Amino acid sequence: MKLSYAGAGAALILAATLAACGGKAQFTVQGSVLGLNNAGLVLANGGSTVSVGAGATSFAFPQQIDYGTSYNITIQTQPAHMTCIIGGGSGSAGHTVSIQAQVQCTQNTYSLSGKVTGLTAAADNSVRTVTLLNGSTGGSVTIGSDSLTLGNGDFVLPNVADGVAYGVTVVPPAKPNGLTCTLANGTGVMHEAPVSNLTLTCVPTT
Amino acid sequence: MKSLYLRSGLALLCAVILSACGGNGSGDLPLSGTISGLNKDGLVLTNKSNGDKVTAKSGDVSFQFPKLAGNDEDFEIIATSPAGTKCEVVAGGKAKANVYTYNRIAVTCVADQRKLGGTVAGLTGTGLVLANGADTAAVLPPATPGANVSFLFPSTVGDGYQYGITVLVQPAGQTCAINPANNPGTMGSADVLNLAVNCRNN
Repeated sequence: MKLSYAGAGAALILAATLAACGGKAQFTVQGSVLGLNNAGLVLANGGSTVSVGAGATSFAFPQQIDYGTSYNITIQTQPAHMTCIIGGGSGSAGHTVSIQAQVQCTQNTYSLSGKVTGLTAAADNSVRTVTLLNGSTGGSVTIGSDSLTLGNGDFVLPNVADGVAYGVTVVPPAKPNGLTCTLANGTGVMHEAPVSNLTLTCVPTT
Repeated sequence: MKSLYLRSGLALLCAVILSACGGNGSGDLPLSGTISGLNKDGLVLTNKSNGDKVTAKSGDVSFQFPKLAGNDEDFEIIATSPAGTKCEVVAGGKAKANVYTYNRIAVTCVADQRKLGGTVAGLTGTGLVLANGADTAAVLPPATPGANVSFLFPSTVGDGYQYGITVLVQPAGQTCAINPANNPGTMGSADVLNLAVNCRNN
């Protein structure tokens, strides 16, 4: 009796295996994920969607598709604070042995900028400069009076990633140039929008 | 007689052709490669095989030796680092010169790391956060009122790199300012642990 159960089971497995061989080949619409640190990513393929959680390194849509069916993976919703792009996300099932798209996500970055006043050329018309530094790793910008109109104009520092602190200081020139520059609104945390309220004011050194 | 001239001419031609094939210094391959992370002047790269040298300065991302190498000529490149940074030949530094190897030398430099910190005086309120750009350090008031508190940024700063700290969040009821004597500044050959922050009540 026991033996016949085993035999029936084996026959069933065999039948299932054979069924898988016959008929149209099925393909899973899937891929790898890189750099996804936040929740909220939703991918779509036609009417089918899949949510991909923070920290995921792969994804697969629940429904398989037939050989020859075309697929086109798009981003329905970007994760919080990040932007993802897709490579190899469209094609025809069976064109390659398996579908293997790539999703790559990077933290959003926003510009850090402001206005300068009073950075005029020296009396002998030589260019005066001031350097703004965003800590040891945030980059810097050197503003020259020759890029301004009557000492007034705009400056832009390298972008800062969402959620990251910035703290900008004024680096005086190695040789004093007769101006003393002070910065307002130079520090904060980047949050979902560019910051453009830095104000650099230069006055003759007293 | 004629045939002797002809033969010696032929021999000379052979010798010229052969010498062109062998490589003994007068080749046409400019040994070269890439540099990453160099923020100091004075990196010296030496080809031990022929004594040829090339110097790189802060910010350089590539180099090329003045002497041209011949095909099949051995080369071995070593790096002599500037003070405060460690440069190494990480790939392609030892090979026989040919079209596949002559420009594949990779040099990587990493600045020596120093600590950045200091002391806050007069701190009584909670919430003070200092920032060196993206790197932040929270500072709590001292257990003993009136005492100074020291702080240290979590990230180190490379020798030769600039730093500049700001007050990201002022403590409750107080305003703190950073002594500009050494802020902003450039990291030298020793830790900077004497940044001074002074807080007073609003």
